[in-house]
Amino acid sequence: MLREIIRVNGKDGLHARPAAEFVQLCKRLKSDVKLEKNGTVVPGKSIIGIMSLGIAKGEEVKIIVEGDDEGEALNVIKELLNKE
Amino acid sequence: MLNIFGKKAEKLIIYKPVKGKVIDLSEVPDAVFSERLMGDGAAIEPEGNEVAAPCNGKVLLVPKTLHAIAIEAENGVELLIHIGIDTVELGGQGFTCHVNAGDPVRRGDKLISFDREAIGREGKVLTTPIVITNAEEKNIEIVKLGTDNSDVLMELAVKG
Repeated sequence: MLREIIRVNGKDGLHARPAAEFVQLCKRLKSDVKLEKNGTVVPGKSIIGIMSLGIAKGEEVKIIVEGDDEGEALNVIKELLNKE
Repeated sequence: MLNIFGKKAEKLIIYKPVKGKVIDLSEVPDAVFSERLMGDGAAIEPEGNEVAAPCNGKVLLVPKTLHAIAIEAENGVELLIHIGIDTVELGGQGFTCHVNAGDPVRRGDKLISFDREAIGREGKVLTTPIVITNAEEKNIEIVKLGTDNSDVLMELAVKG
């Protein structure tokens, strides 16, 4: 299992479009992905869960990845969230 | 209706959260909806200025910007109602929310009011997509869409 705190740089934070892109990415990965903010953990495949975290631009979120492709999965997730 | 495995699909009627013409999601001028990245559903060109609960259930989420709301129906179907296009950019201006996350709601309860003029002045259109965000997990199918004059937005078959 890998955990890493990642900064969200998109201009709308993790709202509709980036949240949808995040979910699509999680559905393609073999690993199970979870997000955590302020003690609330949500599944990476739940768009409502992700939006309920209310992550704004510049905020950080903890990503928890577990599975066969976890190293690679964490890298692509980081790339998506860091993107401006 | 029985399917091959003998599991009965549950029917759920989603009523229009706001009166207006029903349009296909593919016609919504935002790819995240038209390409169904957020999920399948339908959109409305609102005639009114109030969004009401489209079914019985509870409020799952109201973003700080008040331009959207997620409702969970009693049978677990999740719906996201997104008022207008790119309205996240208004930062809440023009929207008033009457409920909080976790509140139970009955069909027709007032959820969000919006100021059509203020939103229009900012150059935003009011096209309102209503999408099912957990259709895959719950095996939900849209059986049919409502017409422009009916109160029904869509009829769902929930198989999961």
